[in-house]
Amino acid sequence: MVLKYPIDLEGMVSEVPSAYARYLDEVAQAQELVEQLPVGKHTIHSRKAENGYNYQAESRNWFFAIGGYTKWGQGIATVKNGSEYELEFEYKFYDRYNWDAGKSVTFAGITVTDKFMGEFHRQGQAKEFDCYGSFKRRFTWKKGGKLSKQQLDTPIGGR
Amino acid sequence: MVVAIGLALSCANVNCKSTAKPGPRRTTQESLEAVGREVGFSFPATAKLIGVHRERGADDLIAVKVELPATEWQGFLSHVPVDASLFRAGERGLLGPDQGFWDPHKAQNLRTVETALPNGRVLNLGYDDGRASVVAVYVVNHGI
Repeated sequence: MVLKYPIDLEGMVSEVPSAYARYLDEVAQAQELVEQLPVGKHTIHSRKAENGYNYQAESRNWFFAIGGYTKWGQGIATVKNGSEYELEFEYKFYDRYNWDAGKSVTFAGITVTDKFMGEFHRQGQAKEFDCYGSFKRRFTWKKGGKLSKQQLDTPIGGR
Repeated sequence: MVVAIGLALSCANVNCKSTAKPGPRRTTQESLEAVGREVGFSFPATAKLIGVHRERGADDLIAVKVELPATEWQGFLSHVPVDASLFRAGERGLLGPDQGFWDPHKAQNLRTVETALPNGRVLNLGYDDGRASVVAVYVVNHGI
């Protein structure tokens, strides 16, 4: 059985500048897609998952906990009259916390190889696990318009 | 071992107190050829290696900046495993923060693309052709 660990994706996006930029890029792609849709209600989904990386200089917490990750977006879009749009957007995250031969991490001055950690997994004394996360937003805009920071940062239902 | 896993997990929620510090962005004496092998493609002999940076964490990363004569850019691009039609304007969170030689946020006309590589790796490529005769190229190759 694969273990699952939910992460605080809201926290990661607010604390890591590049993670916030990756989120904005996903939203921009969603907006671009929605503006091409006909009037009506549509379910949308990223064409493919993309990736991000939490750099150590941005956040040591998220660098050591996650590092590289996969993200994508999905939602329900409403095109009102060809130039007004509404989107219930969900930003999604996935990362496999695993150990691969040939890698290592230096933490608290101690270098731990992935081979060392992976041996515990192989012996059944530890398990690799899946990290996942998501959050939702509601966006409204007019054709070609930009979303306000308030819309981008406010969870559905408010803080 | 349990402690190590616990440390990794807790880092997502609390401030880690490790003594590890971000590695400096440094210019190295590494050769273009060796760096090219590491990122998975070769650079033209006329390229100037500006700097190399590596991260060693949950997933490793190498960041390489080179400068090419503008006349070499299209030829170089044809050897890189990215779809050039997917370049978009801006840094878009693909190249990370500026530090030392690594300065994508100061680029005048930056365009970036990302592509998935085999074996769970990712290639992010950025270029700035805002100067007349030189193209600055930013390469990031990392695990996920």
